[in-house]
Amino acid sequence: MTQDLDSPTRSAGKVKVLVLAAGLGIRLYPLTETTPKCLVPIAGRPLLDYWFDRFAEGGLREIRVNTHHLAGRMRAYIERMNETGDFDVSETFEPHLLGSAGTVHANRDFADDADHCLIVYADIFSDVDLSEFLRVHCSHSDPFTMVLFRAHDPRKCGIAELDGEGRVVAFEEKPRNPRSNLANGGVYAVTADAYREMADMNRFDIGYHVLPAFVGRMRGWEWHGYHQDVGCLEALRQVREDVSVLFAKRSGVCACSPPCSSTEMVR
Amino acid sequence: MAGSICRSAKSYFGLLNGLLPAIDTRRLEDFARVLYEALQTGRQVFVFGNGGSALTASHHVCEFVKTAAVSGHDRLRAYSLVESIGLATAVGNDLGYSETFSYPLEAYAKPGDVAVAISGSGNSPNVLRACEWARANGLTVIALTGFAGGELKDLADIHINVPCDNFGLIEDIHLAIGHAVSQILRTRVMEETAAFTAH
Repeated sequence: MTQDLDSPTRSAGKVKVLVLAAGLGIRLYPLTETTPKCLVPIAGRPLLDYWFDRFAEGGLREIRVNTHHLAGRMRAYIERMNETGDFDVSETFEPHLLGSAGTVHANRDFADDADHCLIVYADIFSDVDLSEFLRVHCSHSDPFTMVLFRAHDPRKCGIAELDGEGRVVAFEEKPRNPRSNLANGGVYAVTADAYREMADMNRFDIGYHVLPAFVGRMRGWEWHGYHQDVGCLEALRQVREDVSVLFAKRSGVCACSPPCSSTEMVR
Repeated sequence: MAGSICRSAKSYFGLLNGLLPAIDTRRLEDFARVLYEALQTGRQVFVFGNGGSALTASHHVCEFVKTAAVSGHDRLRAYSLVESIGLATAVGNDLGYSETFSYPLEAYAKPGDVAVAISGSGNSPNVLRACEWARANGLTVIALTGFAGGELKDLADIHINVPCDNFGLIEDIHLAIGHAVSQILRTRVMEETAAFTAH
């Protein structure tokens, strides 16, 4: 369900981004034995590059990336991003993986000088419009907004149920009997207070342990564009196939066979 | 879940022979790679299953700890969750059989550890429950299954399936996988030790 409220009820103010990028990428073996999962190449560029494109489009400069596996490679990438002058990227190294919620706990102070935080799973390839997402986040009074997408296999995702106002009224991580295919897109916008609340829970996984606590005070915003988890080799292959079509459409040239509308998003 | 039954030894071994090429050996290499990482980082490995798979779990642990051992090098910290009949029956009796593996896993495991789940059907409730907990708490999940993988395939980071409906054949190949992986692991540790010595 897409919300389209008239005007923001609060200003986005200062927004900082926490990128969850430390995973081992075991489902992408052997590729990830030498390359961090979020740096696997897609159309000649590291996956994380596409997220930085989204950040630039959204005017987001202050980024923090957690690292663990092949941290040296990640560090070099972060340095390169800082050298562009477009971003202020910091690293939070995890000698032992903390889990998505554990990373928020370990970086509680990240929200100290922010009004809102975006939390992004780096192993997703998406053309999500972060400006619009933040506009929606600021247009309601709940402290938490999550990007949703229509999943091909909802049993592998966190599944949300929304009420008529787009509020998440039920959420289940990887349900055996999913009630819909409206899935957690791994991109969250939270107020600084909500970020600190997440941190203070001191849990391991956001999907399993944190999101259920926000049911009833969290909104969902469905992204109708491209959104694909790059968690396994099959998914990576699919993204690599899709990306040429996606780029061709963006440049107004349809690469589909048979041709389709260039304004239609690829799923 | 009922499986097929062979009527002759010739049929059984013919089917076993025919199944072997269907095993994705790349996933066995991945399995060994995860164990090698666990060895290098001091992570624990927990293996579990029911019935014949319980015995396979214990057998795997024997291979991972003993066969893969290289003199002068740390040994893998692998444990079978099926060894304590007291704990298993206490949990099964008091909390329900579906908790028999998740309960000890919650007590022992830490994020980054490895869960090796063995289930011919891929649908054993206690195995699924343990893997759900493992996924939610940062363990790497390796699943050995038969049939079409059941629900377990969706919970695994590495899924190795024996595409067959005969439990005997499935379990035979699961056991062989343990032997193969332990030997790959041992070879890798030996190569690393040799490289270190050469320097």
